[in-house]
Amino acid sequence: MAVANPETRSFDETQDDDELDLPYLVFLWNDPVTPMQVVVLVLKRVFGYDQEKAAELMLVAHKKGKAVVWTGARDPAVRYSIQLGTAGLQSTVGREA
Amino acid sequence: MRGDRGTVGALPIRRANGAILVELPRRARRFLLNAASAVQRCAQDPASPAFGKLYSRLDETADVDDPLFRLERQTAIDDLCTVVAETANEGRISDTQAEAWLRVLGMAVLLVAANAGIRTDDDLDRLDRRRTYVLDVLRSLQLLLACSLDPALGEADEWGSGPD
Repeated sequence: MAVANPETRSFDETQDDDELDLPYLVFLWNDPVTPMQVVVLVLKRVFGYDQEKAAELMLVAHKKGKAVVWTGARDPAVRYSIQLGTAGLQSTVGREA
Repeated sequence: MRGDRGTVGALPIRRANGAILVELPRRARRFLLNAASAVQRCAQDPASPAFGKLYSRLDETADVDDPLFRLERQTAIDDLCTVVAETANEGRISDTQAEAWLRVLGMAVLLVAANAGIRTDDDLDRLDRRRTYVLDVLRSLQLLLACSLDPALGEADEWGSGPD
């Protein structure tokens, strides 16, 4: 009787694993009402960024409509997104920039 | 994101001796309390027009958000509003409490914008007088708190807007 090798995986499973290796991105979306200083402060507090990096990300969101503000695993990405949302900022988690 | 500075002349909220000193008039404190109540009410009312903004979908890669994340967000909103309700009349608040105020004000701004259908700067310019006043007060309080929490923000005048 053939015994399944636990190391053997189907092509589909391999593809899924490849996808799982892709990092999650935290997006910050521009909004017309939040003061810029507040956005910078929230980015500094949530991610520990310095003034320069936080201001740069804020300006990217402001000018391009959205900015990738963090990259990494899914759970921390969603938690960061929640922290941005509970400051009134619009944020989502996704895979593509 | 708006680049204006708000009204910070008298600095009724400022850093002093390791805490945040709050010398807001009673009316402004009531405003803050009302903002927290509005956020908390909206967070518990799926029929509210702004509910979808407060609980906008987080994870674009999933069909629906994980219920645990939704609960986490709900709990965070409740906790922040409770901090505001308990400290809105204090003369001195900690940095943690000031950040809770700032966050609740941010969500209140989001609610006003959602209820008024604001999506662009042009929408903002067409806002009626009452909502303009409400947004101005909320954002002035946000700026006062932000600059008290992080004095470096008040020095960054060079952001400008540049070409969009």
